[in-house]
Order: sequence, then C-alpha cells, then structure tokens
Amino acid sequence: MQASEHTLRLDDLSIRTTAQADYTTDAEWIAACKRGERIAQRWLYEKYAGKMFYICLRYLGDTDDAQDSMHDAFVKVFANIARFRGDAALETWISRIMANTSINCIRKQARRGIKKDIDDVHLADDSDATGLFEAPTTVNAQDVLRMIQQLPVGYRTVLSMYALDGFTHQQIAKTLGISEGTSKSQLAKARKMLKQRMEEGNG
Amino acid sequence: MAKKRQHLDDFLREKLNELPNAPVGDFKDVERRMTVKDHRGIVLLMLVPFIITGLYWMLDLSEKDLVIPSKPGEQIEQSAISPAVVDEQSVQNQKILESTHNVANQEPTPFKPVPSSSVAKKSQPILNTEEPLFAANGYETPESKALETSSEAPQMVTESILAVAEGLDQSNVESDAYTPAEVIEESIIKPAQQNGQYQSQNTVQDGNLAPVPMLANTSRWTVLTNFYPNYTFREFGIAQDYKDVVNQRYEDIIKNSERGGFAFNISLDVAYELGKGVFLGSGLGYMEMKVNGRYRFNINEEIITTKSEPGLVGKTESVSAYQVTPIDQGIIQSYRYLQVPLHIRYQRWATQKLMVLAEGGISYVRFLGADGASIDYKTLVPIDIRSLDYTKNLASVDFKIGMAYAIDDQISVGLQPSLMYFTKSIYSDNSPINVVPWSVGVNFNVTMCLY
Repeated sequence: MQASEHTLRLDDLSIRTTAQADYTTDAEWIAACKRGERIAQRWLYEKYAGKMFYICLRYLGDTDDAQDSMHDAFVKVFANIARFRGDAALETWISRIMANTSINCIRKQARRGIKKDIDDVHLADDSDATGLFEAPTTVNAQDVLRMIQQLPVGYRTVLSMYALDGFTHQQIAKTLGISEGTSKSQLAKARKMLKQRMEEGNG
Repeated sequence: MAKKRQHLDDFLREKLNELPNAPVGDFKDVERRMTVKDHRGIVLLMLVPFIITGLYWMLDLSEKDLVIPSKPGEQIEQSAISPAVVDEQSVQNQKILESTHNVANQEPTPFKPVPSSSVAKKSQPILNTEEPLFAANGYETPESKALETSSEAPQMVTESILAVAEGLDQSNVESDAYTPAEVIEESIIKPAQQNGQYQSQNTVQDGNLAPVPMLANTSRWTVLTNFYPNYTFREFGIAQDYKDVVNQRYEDIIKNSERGGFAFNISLDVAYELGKGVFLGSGLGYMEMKVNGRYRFNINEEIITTKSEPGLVGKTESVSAYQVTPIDQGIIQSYRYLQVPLHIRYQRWATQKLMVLAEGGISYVRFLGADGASIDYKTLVPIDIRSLDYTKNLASVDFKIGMAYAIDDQISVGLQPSLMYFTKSIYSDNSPINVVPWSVGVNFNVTMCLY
C-alpha cells in the first residue's frame, strides 16, 4: 500500500530556503534585478556595497558623504541595470557609476570647490612623475586608504580617477573642466605627496 | 628585508584590494531614495498646468501691455504695436479708422451710448448679448472702472473706443494714434447701457477675471456632476510584525503583478461660492478601483511520500521531494467605495473660454465590497479576495489642478492632473499586508451646470 500526501511547508525556514533557491546564479539574480524585484536589488546591494563604499570614500574622504553618495549611486544602478548588457563585468560597471556619482557630488560641493583647489596649484616640479618607488613593507591597506583620504580634494580626485578607476587624462580634464596639463600635474603632485607620507610612515 | 621597487599606482591598487568589505549600510535608505525618485515625475506632471497657464498669461499680458495705455490719455506708441495681431476684424475696421485721427488726445466729451456695433458683435462670440459688456479682454482698467459706476465721466481710452464705434456711423472723428492692431484689442469692448449704468460683463475684482456667462449663475450654489477615469497605483508593504511570517517572495510577486489598474469615479457635488472664485463643495461619489495584472511564478511544493509495508511489523518510510507548480493566470481585482468629499476649489478665468482650476480636499471613504483573486501571503496559492479583512472606514486626500474649456454655457470639459491618496491601508489593522492606493493621472472630466 502506498499513501501520498502533499504538504506545503509553511514554516519560515523552508519559505526562505525556497525563495532563495529560486535564484542560484548571479545571472538569475541580475535578471531578477532587471525585473525590479526588490529581493534581488537587496542581494545586489549586499554583495557589492562593501567594496563600493571604499570607492566613494576615496573620492569624498568622509564616511557620511561616502555612504550618501553610494546610496545615490545604487539608485542609479537599479534604475539603469536593465541597460546593462554584460559586455563588462557587473562590478566594473557599478564601480564606474560609483565613481561618477562621487565626482558629481564633489562638483556640487562648489564651495569646497575641486576646480578652485586644482587651479590654485601650480606645479613646477614634475621630476618625480614616473611613479616608481621603494614599496614600503609596513604600510597596510587601511593606511593607504587613510593617506588617500587625507590628500587635498583635487589631488585625490585626479589620483583616484587616473590610477585606480582607469580614466584617461583627457576624460579627467573633460569631467572636471580642467586642462590635461593640470590633470597631469595634479597626479604627479598627488603621487609625490603620497610617497613622502609612506616613507614617513615606513620610517 | 629588501624593499621592493614598484610603481605607486600598482602598489595602491594592490593594497586597496586587500581591504575587507566595509560593513553594509541600510538598504532601506536606498529603497526610500528610489521611492522619492519615483515621485519626482508626478510632481513634474502636477506642475505642467501651472507652467502652461503661467506662460499663457505672460504672453497674454505682454500683448495687452503693448496695446492698452496704462494711464488715461496716454498715447500708444506706434512702434510698440505688433502687426502680428492684425486679424480679420481689424481689416474690416481699417477703412473706418483711416479717417480718424488723434482720438486719444482730444478733450473728453460726454459719453453718448451707441447701439451694438459690428465691431463688438464680431469679437464677442461667446458673450451673452443680453448682458452688458465691457472690460477689454476682461482686464480692469481705470477707464473701465469709471464706466462701471458712471456714464458721465468716461476716460480717455474708453472714450476713444466709443468714438471709434461712433465713427462707424458718423465718421467724424479723426485719429492717427490708432492702428488696426489696437482695434483688435479694444474692439471686443461693447458699450451698452443698462439701468443707466455701464457695467462690465467681466466684472473684475482684485485682478481676478470674472466668470463669463458659462456657469456664472446668479445663485452662489452650483450643482456639478463629474466623471473621471484615472489610473490607480498601490503602495504595498508588509506590516512590521509579520515580516517573518510572510513568504519572502510574496512581496516581489505582488509588486510585480498587482501594480494597479484603471479606475473611475463618479460624483454629484454641490458647491457654494465663498467669493473671489473660491468654492466650498461636498457631495456623494462612487469609486471603483481595479487592479489588472498577471501572476507568473512557481510554487515550490515539498511532497512527502509515505510508503507502508503490510505485515506483522509495519514499516513506514517517508521520502520527500520538491515539486514545482507554475502559476500563470491573469487577475482582475475590483474594489468599490462610497465617497463623501469636502473640498475647496479655486477657479480663475484665463481667457473667455479657458478656466484654470485648483482643487483640494479630504473625503470620507466607505468600503462597499471587493471582488477578484489574489494569492495567499504564506502559501502563494490563489485566493478569493472577498475572504480578506478590509478597513471599512477610510479617508483620502486629493488634489487636482488643471484647466477647463467651456463648450457652452452649461458644459465644460477639463483636463485635470490629479492626485488622490488614501490615508491608511485598505486592509484592516490585523492584516499582515498594507496596501495604500493612490491614483494619479490626467483626468478628463465633464462639468455640467444643472441650474
């Protein structure tokens, strides 16, 4: 004799398991995100927010501003993810949105003006612009982040854009409304200042 | 330990990659920002009539500024008059005007009433000819005010106009200060005498355009019927206490499937004019909100199969497996309400036929019934929504702005972007689900003056 019964598992645990089991791969989650499913948006946020926060922090230097900018950027991500075709890695795509949003945020802070900050600096000494240096052994990741945060806003913006987020000097100049020469000078100055600080920290 | 020579940029990238993930912030803040962003479009939509009206008035007023002298006796500068405003009527009057000169500069002469002229007739298509007509394009001028109260002291502009009108018969007034363009503006002025006084058909108070005969009842009471379809959205949420009970997929499924639908309201309102275009109204309305959508999801069922082997010592074995049941069905939900509104309406005439309306108010809303299908918040299986527990007594707030066009003296049609928001969930407090409907849209309404 064989008896069969259908039982719907209604307990909370099985429901959560069932819900999560629906999307097992990143592609499925992203597809759900494109459909505007809130649960998938939360998944995306929780997956990338930890990394993206540092991008915003690099540019803005302040944790509250960084958090604010990151959340604005995620709104843009969710609004535009349907257009994401997968030509680049999703993380790269999101990173670029984070960077752009942070840069816009800096530009809005006109009184602390990045442009003024950049224009006011005239560099005569670009001799150390090669970027090669003796890598310090005692400087850790947190130290590096802190040192970047402590750079003047113009320095850290150009450094972040060029060295860490892959913008060209042409793109930087266009985005920030400065000349390419100024962008290069700012980068050289930022590198020089960072090296000095690392040597001091390493010493 | 030997130091490694390295490019700074590479060093920075390496080090930053070593950073552990930062603590994740509050996703609810992102959700809130998304909601705010969604509402920006609605706010913009609501502003559209204001912008259109503002632009219209700016253009309209600027034309008047060019044509109507601001002070009695002031000559109009020839160069300031746009030739673009010359119309058919001005062409007709041109011959008459050619023989008139310096009207504005002449000494005031006692006013002599003139019968309706062809000048006035052609330019007053919607005005009641039995009513005394006056104000130039509905705007009050010192001259018009003087005529409202006394026929003995007509001011320069009015006099000039009347002189022009007289000129139709007499051709004895000379003027070189007027051009056809001016006549267009002024030719809508039709002097008529009533009870020994000259009054403006568009009586103006505080710069407000007075109503034309359309809906301009002698009584302050108006009875209006309204019918307006709109689109209703739903703000859906799970009650905080039930977050752990509700199927985690439920919220997404409902948000994707039950987004909203077309609705219609019909109402009979009585309004009382408090003054200066402000009306206080109330009435009785019927509202039917619909939700149209489609469910497309899978129910993951766990099937437990029990095998029993007969014998002296019974042996039972249970085997479980998941079975996926696809749900793909269309849904139509219908919610019916009775509505008792209390609203304040402000109306202002933009032109002779176009009226700008702004209306806001609150309503008592009584739940009448609901029909249709939804899904259970735990099992996701389809259910009949009649079995759900609803809030019987609710309230809503609404705001409408828009424009109405007077078809004739009884009927006007309007386009009114409107926003209506329920103040609480349509489901009872015991329900795990919160659904707050709100409607938005450019509504079409027909307003009839019943007496």
